[in-house]
Amino acid sequence: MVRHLSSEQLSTYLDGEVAFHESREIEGHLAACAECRDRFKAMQRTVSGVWHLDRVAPPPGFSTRVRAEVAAVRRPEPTLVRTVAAYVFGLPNQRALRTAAVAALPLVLSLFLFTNGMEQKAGLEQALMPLPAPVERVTVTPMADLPLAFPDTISKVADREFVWREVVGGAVWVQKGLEGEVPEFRVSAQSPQGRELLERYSELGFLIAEGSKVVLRYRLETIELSQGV
Amino acid sequence: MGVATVSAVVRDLDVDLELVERHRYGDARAFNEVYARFEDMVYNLSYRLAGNREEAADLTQEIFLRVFRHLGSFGGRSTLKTWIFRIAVNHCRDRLSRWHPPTQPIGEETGEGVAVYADPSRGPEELAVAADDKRRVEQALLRLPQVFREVVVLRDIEGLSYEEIADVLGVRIGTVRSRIARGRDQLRTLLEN
Repeated sequence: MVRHLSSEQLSTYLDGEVAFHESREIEGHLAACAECRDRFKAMQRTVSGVWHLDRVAPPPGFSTRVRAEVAAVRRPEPTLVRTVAAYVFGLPNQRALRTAAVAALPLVLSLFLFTNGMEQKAGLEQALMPLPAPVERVTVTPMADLPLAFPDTISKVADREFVWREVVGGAVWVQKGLEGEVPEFRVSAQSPQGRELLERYSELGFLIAEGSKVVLRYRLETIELSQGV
Repeated sequence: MGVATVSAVVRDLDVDLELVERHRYGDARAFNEVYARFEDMVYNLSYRLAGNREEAADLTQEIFLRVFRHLGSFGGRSTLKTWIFRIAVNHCRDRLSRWHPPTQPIGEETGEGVAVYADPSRGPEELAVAADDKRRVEQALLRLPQVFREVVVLRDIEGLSYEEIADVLGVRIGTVRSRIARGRDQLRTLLEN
């Protein structure tokens, strides 16, 4: 009995989301099995129909409307003065409280002037005293504030982040999250798979330009891409 | 070309985090940049999930208010794009589960006042697809169960990778593969009937 390809296999193959070895198997099966070939073509037509749907633009003036809504949310940070003022003067129908606040104002003002005068007097006395001998100031930077290591060199390419590492025999850009993983495949940039990868993510070419290798996740596998020979 | 040059060429700065940092420090232009970058994406997603332009506009506005309120807490564990998609999908799910189906189905709206982008990357062959076929596909898409519609829209309209979809929906890649395949199968059946 012939075992046909599953919908999931056809769908992931259509999206280029199957491993290299699996794609060869699927291609072999499609070449030999008319039924699966028809199913695959039907799926291609369905997906193509969705791809062809137009992108829709928001109505005119929509951006202005949203930005205005956001601006309304954006309130100034409350300061102490604003909070006190809002409390005292914002109290509805509490006439007694407001009257008390207004009545207390001269008292607060007198207190302020009195303490300010004391400070000014003290300042004058200090100014008449002989100056102390100059002291040499030494700035001490605590060791904990010094950088202990240089930050990683990170590049964002093909929607992935790569960290630069020096290893024995060269350098390698490792996709974040794959540190310490051993690549399952080594792919040369000149091989069909390498060319396909670079065609899809041309920016990867920058990373391997100086002979560095790139370790990344592609089609569910961890691969090492290099210029090769 | 040395490492430093390479780094300069391929953009060392993480633009997403820089935008968020500026937003945290009260730079109003940062949110405007986020809005300009993702407005079209969020509106289209809302439209394809809701099937109605008016509802899509309301959803988009609410989604961006949410984005504005929470942007400061974005930690960079995913990209800003998938983070915003996650907010958008969750909000649409929440709203659409309480919302009645559109009385005027998608594709039957009048063309008056409706702006549709002509995608320059699409060739003449693609542009030649009949409007009637498009309407059938749009209607079939709306009849898909929400769980499958989400993945088909994210994959085949918004062009997200399987990894990005898994990140947006908070599910494993295996689940994404299976949902996309089942969604496409169901869509094909709907189109054939």
